[in-house]
Amino acid sequence: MSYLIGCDVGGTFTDVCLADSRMGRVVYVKIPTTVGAQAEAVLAASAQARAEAGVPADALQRFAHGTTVATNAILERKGGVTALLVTKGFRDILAIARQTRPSLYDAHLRRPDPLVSRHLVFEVAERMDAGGQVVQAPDPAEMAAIAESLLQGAVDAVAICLLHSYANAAHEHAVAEALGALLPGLSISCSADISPEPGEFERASTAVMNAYLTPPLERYLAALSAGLDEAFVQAPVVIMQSGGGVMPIAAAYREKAVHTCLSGPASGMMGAAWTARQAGYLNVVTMDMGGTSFDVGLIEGGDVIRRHDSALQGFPINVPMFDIVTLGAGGGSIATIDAGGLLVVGPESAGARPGPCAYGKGGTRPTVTDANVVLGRLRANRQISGGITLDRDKAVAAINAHIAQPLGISVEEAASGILAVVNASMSRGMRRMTIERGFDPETFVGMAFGGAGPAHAADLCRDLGMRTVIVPPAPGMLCALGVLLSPWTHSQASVVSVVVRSGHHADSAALDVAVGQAREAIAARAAIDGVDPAQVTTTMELEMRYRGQGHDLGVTYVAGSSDAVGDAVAAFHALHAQRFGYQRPEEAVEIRMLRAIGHAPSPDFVSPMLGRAAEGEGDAVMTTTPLWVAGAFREAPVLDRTKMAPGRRWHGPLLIEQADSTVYVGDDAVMVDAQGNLVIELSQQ
Amino acid sequence: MIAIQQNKAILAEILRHGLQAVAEQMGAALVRTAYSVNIRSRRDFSCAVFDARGRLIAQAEHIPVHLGLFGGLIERCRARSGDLPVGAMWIVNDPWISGSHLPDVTIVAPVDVDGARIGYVANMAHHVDVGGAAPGSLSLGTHEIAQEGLRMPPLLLLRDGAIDPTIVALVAGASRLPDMVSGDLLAQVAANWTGVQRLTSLYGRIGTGAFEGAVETLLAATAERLRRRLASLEERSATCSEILEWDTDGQERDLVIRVTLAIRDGVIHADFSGTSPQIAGPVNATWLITTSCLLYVAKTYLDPDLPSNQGLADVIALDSDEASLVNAREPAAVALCTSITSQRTCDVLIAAFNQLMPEQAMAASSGSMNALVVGGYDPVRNCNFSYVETHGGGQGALSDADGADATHTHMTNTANSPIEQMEREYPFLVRRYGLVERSGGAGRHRGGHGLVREIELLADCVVTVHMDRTRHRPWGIAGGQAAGRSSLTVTLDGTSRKLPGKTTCFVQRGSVLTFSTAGGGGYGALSDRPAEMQQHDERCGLVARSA
Repeated sequence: MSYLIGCDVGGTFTDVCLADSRMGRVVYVKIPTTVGAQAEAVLAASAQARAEAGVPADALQRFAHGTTVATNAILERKGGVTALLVTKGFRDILAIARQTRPSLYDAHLRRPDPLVSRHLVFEVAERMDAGGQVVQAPDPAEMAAIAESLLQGAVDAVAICLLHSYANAAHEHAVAEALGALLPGLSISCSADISPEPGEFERASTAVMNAYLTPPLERYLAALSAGLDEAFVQAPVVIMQSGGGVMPIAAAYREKAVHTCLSGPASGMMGAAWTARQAGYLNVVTMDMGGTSFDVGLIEGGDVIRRHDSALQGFPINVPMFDIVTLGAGGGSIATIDAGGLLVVGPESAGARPGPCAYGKGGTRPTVTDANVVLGRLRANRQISGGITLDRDKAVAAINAHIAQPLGISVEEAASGILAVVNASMSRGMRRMTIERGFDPETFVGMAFGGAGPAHAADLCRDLGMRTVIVPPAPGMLCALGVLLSPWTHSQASVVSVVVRSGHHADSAALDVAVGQAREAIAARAAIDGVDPAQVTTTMELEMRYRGQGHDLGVTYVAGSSDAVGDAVAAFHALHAQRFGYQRPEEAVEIRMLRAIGHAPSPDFVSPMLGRAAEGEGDAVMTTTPLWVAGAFREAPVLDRTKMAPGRRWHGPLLIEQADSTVYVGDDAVMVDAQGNLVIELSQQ
Repeated sequence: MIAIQQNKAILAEILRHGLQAVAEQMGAALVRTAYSVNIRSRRDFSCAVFDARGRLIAQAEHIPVHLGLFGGLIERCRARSGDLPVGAMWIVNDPWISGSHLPDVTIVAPVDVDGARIGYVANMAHHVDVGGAAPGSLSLGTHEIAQEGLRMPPLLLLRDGAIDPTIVALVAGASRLPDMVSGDLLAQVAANWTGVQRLTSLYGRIGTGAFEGAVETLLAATAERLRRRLASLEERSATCSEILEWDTDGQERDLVIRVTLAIRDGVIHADFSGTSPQIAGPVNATWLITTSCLLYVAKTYLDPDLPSNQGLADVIALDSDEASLVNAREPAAVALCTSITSQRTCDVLIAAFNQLMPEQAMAASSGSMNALVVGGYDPVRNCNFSYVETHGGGQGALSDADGADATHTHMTNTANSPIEQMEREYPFLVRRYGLVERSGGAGRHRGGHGLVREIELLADCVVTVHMDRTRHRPWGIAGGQAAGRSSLTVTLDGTSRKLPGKTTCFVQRGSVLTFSTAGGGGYGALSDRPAEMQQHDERCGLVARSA
């Protein structure tokens, strides 16, 4: 037998999926996250899942984990005491950043303080030129004084970022070696090993983040490993990466620590992509709306869209990450009448405390959730997690006092207005994610999760001309399953410089060298990570642009085919036309980066049926509830998601209740597909 | 359709989001297809949406200096060239119509639905070169606008939906970089097409009649929001002056910008009488640039999130006694109106607002965009090159916070070029890029630090510099001290010479340019700065400048 565990830690809940991969049977456990000591809930939930499935510890083959330890360390500034070594003359790389300010008009808003204090930035007298030629070699003797200062500064971790190290890493490696000899055991992150791309500020920022995250990840992963040892679990532990795929624990607290920044959200996107593929959808906009934020992600052709130039909390991070846009709009966003008399929603939020008025935790200002409660889209008196019962009277009172009375309209009109305004702001975010990236939303389906997502998804998607919304079963399980199914992945970037002139045959010699090096690097990484290099498939992507442009597009490169470069350039022209509406085949094309990604095979897995099969028809309707539709309340059915039979269609207006959220269906049809997803077919209004 | 029965306070806010999305998507289209670094990386452009009457209803400005330029644009174009036919687009860069210096080229498109005009969209972008005396069209040494490059009244760049190649040829023919300029023009046209589609779609979703009604509500609400904020300042006034540094034939001259700011009847009155007359040099600014400065300072002090639309025009009033540095008339030269003059005007308005709202007072920031333009022939890459960069400096301290270090302040916010990119693309070796120690003014809250770049030139070059605050330091406030000055020196074979702040000159290969920007002034008495903060400053080598 082959048993796999996938575990995802969220802000509120820890989800564990234990799968018998040959049979497609899944045991699923959800318990509250133990904030500050994540390992406790992870271990408890895993033990519970094994007990429920009757699986002994030694039968587990793999333990895959999506963690928020790194994300939290960044949010709370609880990483290690970090130092940075730079080329002489460039001590203030981090302080200057890109010299811009985050707000044009608010003089108080600042770039975040660098993660390294200025007194822990040290200059090294060395220089490499833009071609990777040595101008001045570093003097190892200089390291003694720096080592002494690092000791005095009680430094936990060091990042090294020297100019042009992406072209030649020799100086960074020499400095690291000299420092390592003086301070054995010190955690050292070289920028050229972590993100070998031009742009010294972003590369330094990435290396510093890696160093900064190493100590908290090492502490956490050590505690987790010890706990698993105690439970006699010997299966290898792998960690979810922000750009998809997993890596072994040892990489996660060393040279790939920075790849865990968005480990948690990545699990959800992997699960979403898997679910969508199972249901037959390859192009998907994901919408995750919680209490305080709205995350939009994109799946194209079955793969989650990645980017290599993300930022977290204002810190640039140049490693592959799923491209997720976050807006400050959620169920807790507060509605108010501004000084000019307009109804505005957010950016202020009631957050978790006091939360929406309907939660009865002391909130007095109306929120988006309160509007949903007033209109019946969230059922009054319904119990939700945390022992909260939705109190409609409190929601009505708040919306009446703050919105309806000042505007001289009914409470229901005011609540509808709050939803229309917050949807307008979220739809702006969805346009940013799709149209601004050159995708036509009408060729995508929407996928909604998060506590508040399914209540808004249909209106948002209709606004963008989309036809279908799917709501997967148990999103928590989706995340855990996403981790469980993720293969080992390693990506390797290298700078290349090839210009292809129109009408000239492109010589691939320079690229062949880079491709060979990338393959070697990936094979070496696989060997270190305990993956058989013979099992690894490597795909290549070239980033290119028309000469003179400022933006790269990535296209697949099939090294070794007869006119590999020519094919890639042709693909570039076509992609440019698709994204930007024109191509310039007469222009020279510059190839600037090679990105190689190695994948091990995915774990064997028979697709499980996630939604519980329903017994009979008609049972699904639990009760009816007043629902505000087109200017009046109508008594509408409330369905129990777990009892909805696949294949049958229902017509709205209706509500569907599931453990963690309520799905609102307006004047549309809804059905359950063979995979257990709700599929809402949007009418064109 | 978005429910027609929505209350107007709700529909107007929905419209605001929709219009903002139109402007943002135009900007995204422009960034993705533009060729020049100015547009695609430094984002030196803005996009705007207008109603059928030509009133500004939304804009996405990436730098505040564009804030006041779109207001009234359609009206000024129509007055000069009649209205836009269906399927046509204007191209215009006349400073007295589109507001800015000549490299800022604006393209305007009409939006027509079923034979009815429902609005206009426009975008303004900074082009690399539109002719004139020196590369970049931002040269010193000019006396009148005719020397600064190609100047266009509103011309029809498109007729019946097709680009007129003779107009593109006209612009390309005037430019030192014709291919790049043509590519950027096409990108601007494409951005307008995006805007036309998006506005048409939004109009359809909101509906005829409802759209127009929501526009009225939005403009009135924006004006009302600012008026309410002004209520507590009624009858307050202040008069302040600032210096703009100039020299004529090697003689230093101090030009004066003077304003009397008064809040009367819910309107901000800014009277610039007493400002120096316009001069025969490129530091004059049009009234539109000065309007940008007033709107910027008003938003900063009163309401940073205030929407930018025509509603604001009713709440401000500018006045002056005659043609002046900040209200220049033809044929004044204006190349430095954004990089220098707008920042100096901004500082005098800040000084005045400090008196109106002492509880929110802020010290002076570095006071210039600190532009550096280097052009010439690169013998290694075997091509001409033109490098343009603006540099941040110290932000002035606030009443409750230190000023930010090495940042763009006030009228601009463009990103720097990475050192590694500079060395990959230009004949430069950068020797230093860092904070200027002891450049922030001391105080309870210290001013931000200026920055310094040392560039070794590996080719003969023509260098143009726009700097201010080389003689007059950024001031502190409430007992805070003044900041360090800006400076430019050229060092060759161990000999250094200082250059004036506004220069175009030849610099020999092998020279090292040292470009230092001013810090920000301090706030409050240094003796009130807590000891632990002073210790922290010392440990980090960031002790403030103290006279």
